[in-house]
Amino acid sequence: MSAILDIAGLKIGVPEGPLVVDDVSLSVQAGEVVAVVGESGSGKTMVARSILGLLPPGLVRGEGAIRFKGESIEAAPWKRMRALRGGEIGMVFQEPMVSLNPAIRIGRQMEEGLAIHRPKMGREERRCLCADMLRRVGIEDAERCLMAFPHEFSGGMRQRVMIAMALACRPKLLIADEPTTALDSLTQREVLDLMVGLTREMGTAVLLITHDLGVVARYSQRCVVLEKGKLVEAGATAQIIGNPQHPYTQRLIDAIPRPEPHGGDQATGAPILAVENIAVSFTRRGGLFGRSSQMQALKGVSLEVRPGETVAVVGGSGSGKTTLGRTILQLVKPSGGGIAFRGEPLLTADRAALHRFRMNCQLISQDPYSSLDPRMRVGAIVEEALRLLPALSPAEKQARVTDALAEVGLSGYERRFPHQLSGGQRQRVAIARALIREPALVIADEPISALDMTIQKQILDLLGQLQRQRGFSCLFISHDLAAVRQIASRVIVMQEGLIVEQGETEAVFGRPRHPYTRALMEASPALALSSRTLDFAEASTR
Amino acid sequence: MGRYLLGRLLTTIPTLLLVSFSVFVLIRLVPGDPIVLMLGDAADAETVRGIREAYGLEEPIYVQFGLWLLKAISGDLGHSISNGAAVAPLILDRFQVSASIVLIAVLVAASISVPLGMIAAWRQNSLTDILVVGGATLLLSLPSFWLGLLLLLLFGLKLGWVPVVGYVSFAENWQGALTYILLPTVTLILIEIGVVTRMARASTVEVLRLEYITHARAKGVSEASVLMRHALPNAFAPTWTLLGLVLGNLLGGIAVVETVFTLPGLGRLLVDAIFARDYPIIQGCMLFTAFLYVIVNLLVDLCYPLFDPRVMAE
Repeated sequence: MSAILDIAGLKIGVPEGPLVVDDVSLSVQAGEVVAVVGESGSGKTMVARSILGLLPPGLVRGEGAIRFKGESIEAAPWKRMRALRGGEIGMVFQEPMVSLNPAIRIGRQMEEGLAIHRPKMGREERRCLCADMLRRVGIEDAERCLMAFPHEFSGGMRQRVMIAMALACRPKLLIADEPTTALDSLTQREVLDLMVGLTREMGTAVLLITHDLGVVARYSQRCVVLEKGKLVEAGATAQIIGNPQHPYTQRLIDAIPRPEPHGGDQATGAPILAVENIAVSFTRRGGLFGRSSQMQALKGVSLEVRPGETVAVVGGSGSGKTTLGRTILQLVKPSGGGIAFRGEPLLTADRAALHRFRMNCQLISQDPYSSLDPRMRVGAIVEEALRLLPALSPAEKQARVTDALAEVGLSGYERRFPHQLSGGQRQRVAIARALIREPALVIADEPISALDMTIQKQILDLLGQLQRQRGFSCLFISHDLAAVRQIASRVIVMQEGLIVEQGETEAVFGRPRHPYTRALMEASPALALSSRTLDFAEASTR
Repeated sequence: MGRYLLGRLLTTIPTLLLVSFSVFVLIRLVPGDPIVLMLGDAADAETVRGIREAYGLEEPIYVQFGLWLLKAISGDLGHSISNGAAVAPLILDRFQVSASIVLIAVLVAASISVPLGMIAAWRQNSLTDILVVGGATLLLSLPSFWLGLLLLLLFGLKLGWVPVVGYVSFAENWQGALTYILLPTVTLILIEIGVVTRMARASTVEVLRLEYITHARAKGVSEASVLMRHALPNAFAPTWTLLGLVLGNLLGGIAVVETVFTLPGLGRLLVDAIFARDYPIIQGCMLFTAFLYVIVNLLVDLCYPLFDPRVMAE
């Protein structure tokens, strides 16, 4: 069997500067799914883009050969390249929210590729084919979808449209660059199942670019691991996941969260936070002349957090988990119910009580890139939390900042600006800022989902370790079930503004009762992988 | 749609009231009296007072404003103090002159600038880009009166191709009218090209960086189609807003250009009226200008969904 795609010794870099991809070789056989795995900065996206000659300005392809069906395309003339793009090689991009042109109807965007690559096809035929493709990716109302604009669809739907668009011309190879990273785990599962199913049906080979080992294990036959632009390991996926040879691959696999025994240290005592039956609704304006409508984000949610325990709130996007966190922090006003902090009701609290609550409750937010003021130095960001403590002298404050930064492993970073730090380092700053006041409760809203796998592990470990030392309670909001299983002692599963299941982590994960919980668990590739690698580890120790 | 339009028009009423009232008060605070200016120094105080009374200028200011407003609502903007002409027809007459120049200038400037800016953005950092940006910046920095004078000097005096002073209306003699408005229009075009090109380039650069442009290329779309079909509608929206602001500004009077080319436009009318302290004309001009500005920008906003369907959804 001849290779559909064959890359040999590919180098990509800044002209007369450093290489971002250094000597990468890989091949994709017909009908096969090959994954390229790596963290940010590994050059995996650049490899994908260079195949179609779509490198961003400033980067150039150096040595190396790219062969498509035996034809050398690394220096293909412009016209040939255009025939390949979209016609023979389809591409699906990472961000569904920005990959479709907002000003053009979906039908026109879909037909555009067909019009170029299948010029003989009539307009009516093109339209039928597009509608048919949309139905095949699970969009029921295909005719309406063709006339709609991208902004009318959610991220998951847009990614389906992208896949339908890329496959409409029946390419021989589909390059999927992190196709589901921006989606929640349930949608991710649906979209990937669909993509892999359709390509198998059409005999299209797939080059799957991803950072998610769970996705690699579930969908690819072979994989290639990249680290900082260099190929470190390649081979059959089962082989690499089960028995990684290179230390970097071992680190990646080690970073998959594993369940930790939480037994014994049952949190007792009066709950530090008690949420009772809170409801939140948002007013949504319906179009230019439409009536405004009420959207119920939370429909009566009750929960308790006891001193020192970590309670996880999980659910897909739109489940209301983020709104729950924001409501507890008094950033959103609930329309009903009650919240009590250490027995004191918060919704009717006076300023002093609210102040006490805010001093004792801190937030770690999802995006470390926008949660730190870019014009403040790290030291000042962390110290700001202390400004309402007049009892401390400047020297004492300085000492507290130094200690806090040392605890998160960032000693000596006081004078840096956020843009000089990596994502993981920024999240450490956010943790230091949250913990310097020694809060009794920390609300962490998706604190690791914007980070690379190995960094996720470091941050999770750091949070766990600090919690053991300090004994704060934590409400951990996440869609990442594997991480939740590692860190939380209790889990609350939310769906559409309601709690559908809650209980001890191991009980919920071991015997999920609600179908939504089961669906979430099945959709989590990392969870499946973590039990698989555990099985493997057990087998090898036996 | 109708409700939206009505709402937008109603919100302009406070703006117009505020503009009229401040103009009304401010112009009366400026030293100098229209009657004294009209009669000259020789007139005695008694005569001046008599005429002021006849024009209603001796009333308290709020009474004056109330009376003016009542008339203005019915479309009567009063009569000029210095020559007794009715203000409303006068404004419309002068506006025609300004509008013909401004509309042509903005139309031509836009149709040159937008493609120019897009090509510069597409070839970002190339020689073409540097030349376009350099040229635009140069045009942007030229004062309009200076450019106008140089054009007059070259084409009017040295080459003698166009008349230097005067104006005939299109209704009288359209070929003649063209020769009179040619140079002022060219002056405006050159000045506005600078602003609009820079805007078109900047917004195209933004758009070309976006993922859907790469996606279009990955579908095999040609570069021309990438620019025309994918970049233009998205990049044009900010330029369109700018064009609305420019148009509103210029329609309100291009006093400097009109003065240089001695054209009887709205800007000249206003400037002359200010010198003569001709209150009714000043008030009328300002109200008309503000109204125009509001209408132009409303039209611009109404066209927005043509480029960006998301606007409709909000």
